Amino acid sequence: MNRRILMGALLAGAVAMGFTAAAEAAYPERPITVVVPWGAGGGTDATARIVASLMEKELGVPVNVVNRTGGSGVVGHSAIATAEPDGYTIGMITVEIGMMHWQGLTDLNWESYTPLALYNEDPPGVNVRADSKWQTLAELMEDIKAAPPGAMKASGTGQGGIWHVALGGMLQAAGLAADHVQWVPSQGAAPGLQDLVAGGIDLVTCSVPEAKALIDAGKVRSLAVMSAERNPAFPDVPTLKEAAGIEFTVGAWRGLAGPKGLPEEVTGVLVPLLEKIHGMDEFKEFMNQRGFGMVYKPPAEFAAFMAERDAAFGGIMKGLGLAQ
Amino acid sequence: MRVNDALLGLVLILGAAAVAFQAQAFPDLPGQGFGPSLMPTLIAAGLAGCGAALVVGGLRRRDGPWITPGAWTRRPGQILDVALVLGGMVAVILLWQRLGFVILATGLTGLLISRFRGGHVVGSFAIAVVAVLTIDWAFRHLLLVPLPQGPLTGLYW
Amino acid sequence: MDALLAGAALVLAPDNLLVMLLAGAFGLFVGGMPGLTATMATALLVPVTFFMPPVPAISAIVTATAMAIFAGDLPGALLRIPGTPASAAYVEDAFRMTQKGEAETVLGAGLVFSVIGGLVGAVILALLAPTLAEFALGFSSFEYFWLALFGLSCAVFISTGSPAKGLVSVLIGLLLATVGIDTTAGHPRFTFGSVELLGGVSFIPAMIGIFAISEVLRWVTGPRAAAHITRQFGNVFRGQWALFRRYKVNVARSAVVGTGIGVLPGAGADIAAWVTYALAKRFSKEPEKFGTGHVEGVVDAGTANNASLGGAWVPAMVFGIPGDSITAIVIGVLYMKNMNPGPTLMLNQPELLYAVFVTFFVANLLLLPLGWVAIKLYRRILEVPREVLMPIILVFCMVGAFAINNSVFGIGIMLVLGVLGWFMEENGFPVAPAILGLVLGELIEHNFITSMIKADGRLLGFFERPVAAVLGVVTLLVWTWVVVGKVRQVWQDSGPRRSAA
Repeated sequence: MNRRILMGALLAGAVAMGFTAAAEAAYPERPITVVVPWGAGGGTDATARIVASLMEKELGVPVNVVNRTGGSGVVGHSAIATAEPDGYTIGMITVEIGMMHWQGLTDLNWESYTPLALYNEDPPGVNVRADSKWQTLAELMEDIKAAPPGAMKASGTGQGGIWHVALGGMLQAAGLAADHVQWVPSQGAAPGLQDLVAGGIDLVTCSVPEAKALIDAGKVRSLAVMSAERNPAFPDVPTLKEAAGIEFTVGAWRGLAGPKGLPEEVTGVLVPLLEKIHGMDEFKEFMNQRGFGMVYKPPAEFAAFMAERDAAFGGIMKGLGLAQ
Repeated sequence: MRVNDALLGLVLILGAAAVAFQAQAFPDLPGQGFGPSLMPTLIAAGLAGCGAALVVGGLRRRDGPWITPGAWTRRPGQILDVALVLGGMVAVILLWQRLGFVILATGLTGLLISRFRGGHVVGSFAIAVVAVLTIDWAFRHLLLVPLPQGPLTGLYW
Repeated sequence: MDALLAGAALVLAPDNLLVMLLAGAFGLFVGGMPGLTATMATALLVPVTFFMPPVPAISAIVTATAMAIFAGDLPGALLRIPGTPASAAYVEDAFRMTQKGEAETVLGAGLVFSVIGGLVGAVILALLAPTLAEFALGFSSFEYFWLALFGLSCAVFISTGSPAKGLVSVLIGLLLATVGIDTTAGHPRFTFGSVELLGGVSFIPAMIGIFAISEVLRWVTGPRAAAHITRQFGNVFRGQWALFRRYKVNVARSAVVGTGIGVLPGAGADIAAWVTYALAKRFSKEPEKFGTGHVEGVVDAGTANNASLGGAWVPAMVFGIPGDSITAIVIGVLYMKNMNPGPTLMLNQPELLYAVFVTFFVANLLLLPLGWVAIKLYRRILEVPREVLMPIILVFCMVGAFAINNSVFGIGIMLVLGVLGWFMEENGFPVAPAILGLVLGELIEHNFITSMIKADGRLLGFFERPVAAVLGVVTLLVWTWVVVGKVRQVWQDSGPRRSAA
């Protein structure tokens, strides 16, 4: 008898819980899509996939990563911004959102999104060929200053890409014209580094994880890193300020955002969830293994961060002749 | 549909001129005397050259009418087939998100199969349903391609 | 040697072989679907490899990609839809052979010579990996430019019919490649204000359109004779030994060239297939048969595209520079396993690099039985009546074109280029050169412009580096020879006609 009552109570409780859960958990009730503006296998894709798999575990609905590539990220970024603001399509936005509107590629900027969480920023290093004569950044900057405009060549990404802007910003901060060093566009950091090793160019600005394999191989030397603090993986590489007294920091960042106007019931679920994911050991382990820098900014700070970077980039890109 | 070489050449020359004209509006790379316009301009020059060669060759031979329509254009049934294939694909593109893959693809394949077989509407749609559901299942579940489900969202696995 | 044996032991463990078997079946399935590439097979495997130790993870990817490249031949030969871009070079020959009732010969050749190419490639890499990696790293944009221009000269060899029309086809391909954000200046070209076109004309939908949709249109507009193939499908291995003996020089050349192209970062299986197909035609005793259903080009390009696969892993594992889009994903997987690619990997875990080559070797052996099963299953397509098959092909094409970017815009590109391809073929323009132009367009332009920037606009800069100078002179000689030959051919063609008129 007792047992039957117990069972009945349990059953009733389970049913009741089921109902309340169904009534409260209006979001999410179907699969969520995470749009990635960059290709499968890249850093943005890899981080999106780990975040998506952790989200899936926590939310109990499928979270699918969809790569919408092309157009230097414009295609994917506009797919996120123009999605229905129902919380079922969110996406990964990257540093390029503060750059491409200056180039006149799109009208989208950081205000086209509902920021959810910033979780990664990677500062670039200044890399030269290991058998080049420059042992320190100060020596390199001296030669750059002495050289006529355009004589020195640098690479690391496409024209108007983040590492191009980083180089321009560094040169401006050092009192030179932003385009004093000629940029040679490449399709990403790896081809740029290959060209550096092959002797085609003088220096490459790109993130530390991107250059790590060639630094370890003794083919490339990193002279400085454009962040406020040294990279724990390369404690011997000084910051720009330490190496040559240049006050400039920059980084490529990645964050999650939804289309403008995400309702409160969606952000109320996603924002705390993403903060939780950022603190998870699985996520930390993944980011450290890939060498990705971990940061966390909640929506309001993320928005302020994007606004500040947007303004700074506008000035540099005008100096590079990229802004329209 | 065969078009006389001379006419094709003329079209190519006009197309090349349009490409070259548009390309001149592209800015040069900063600090360089060339840029994104270089390649399209070279391509346009090549196309214009080939166009000229086709015009000369076509005029010299002058071996047919300007346009020779294919045999299918004299058979109304086949004109309808072509219209159904092309129009069907345009309809699929336009309605892709709204109606979803399964509805559109079943409609199109069912229609085309029964048309090509000259009847057997029920059987044809049965084939279409089975084929489309198989494709849908394989691509959405095994290959993780997010095919839209349209109004059927949540109604089938 | 110890490292090689240690690597072999890792690969030949029973559970690893089971992983390879499953991954192989998966690769065959993906490669056989139009629009789904070996790269996509790899991307789909990534979440699964999270839960595996390093060697099974790598084995799964290697096996799946090797199978996918072969499987791309299946829809290519049977339906004229290249399953992966690496099959596009010889799809015309393969499909014509099927129409002539020689499906088993061409599929068997695709299988057998894929296996041979893969095996030879694996052996070359096992012997020369570090040297090759060092060599590949010495290539800058000057060398790549010459290489790409050399590749473009292949278009002249593969095109049939009027030289002017072949050239138009190449130029159309090159022009299509310029659409979208330009890779050097970041300036949008020919996008007409469309956000989707900023991304350019995707290669996969273009290829499906030009080959498959145009084939559907040709069938719909054609006489639709009930050319039902009812005869028994023979043994796929019959006659392959004779083919091997007849084409052993081709096989050796293509395996070496394919491996070499694979080692260069940025050039992969598809370019290897085009180049070796063109070489085969150039050195063939019967070049006039190419494009009409001749097996020789299939043998060459089929060998080369599988041989090239392993090559891309060398710079990826030795220097962390991806050789193609597959190894770009692999580098990510390696990081995930706490194995950062680079020379330290070679020093600390050389068995891992050798495990990759052993895997290639085993995977290609595994391809023989698995591929045979796949052919057996796939050939049933030939038994489906065309009236039913054509609409279903249409659906497959649409899904494939959609899948590459998950965008309905891909279906639009496919449709437009399908109509264009159909119109071109109706009027005697070969379509294969257009595909080659689309493949090489960005490579040529990007490396030309960046080289010009580096040389400050001096054309002599293209000859100042030793390797570039050699490549440049060879390329220019080939082009001169090609142009002179074509001009002479046009002269001879027009001579009699002029006297007649």
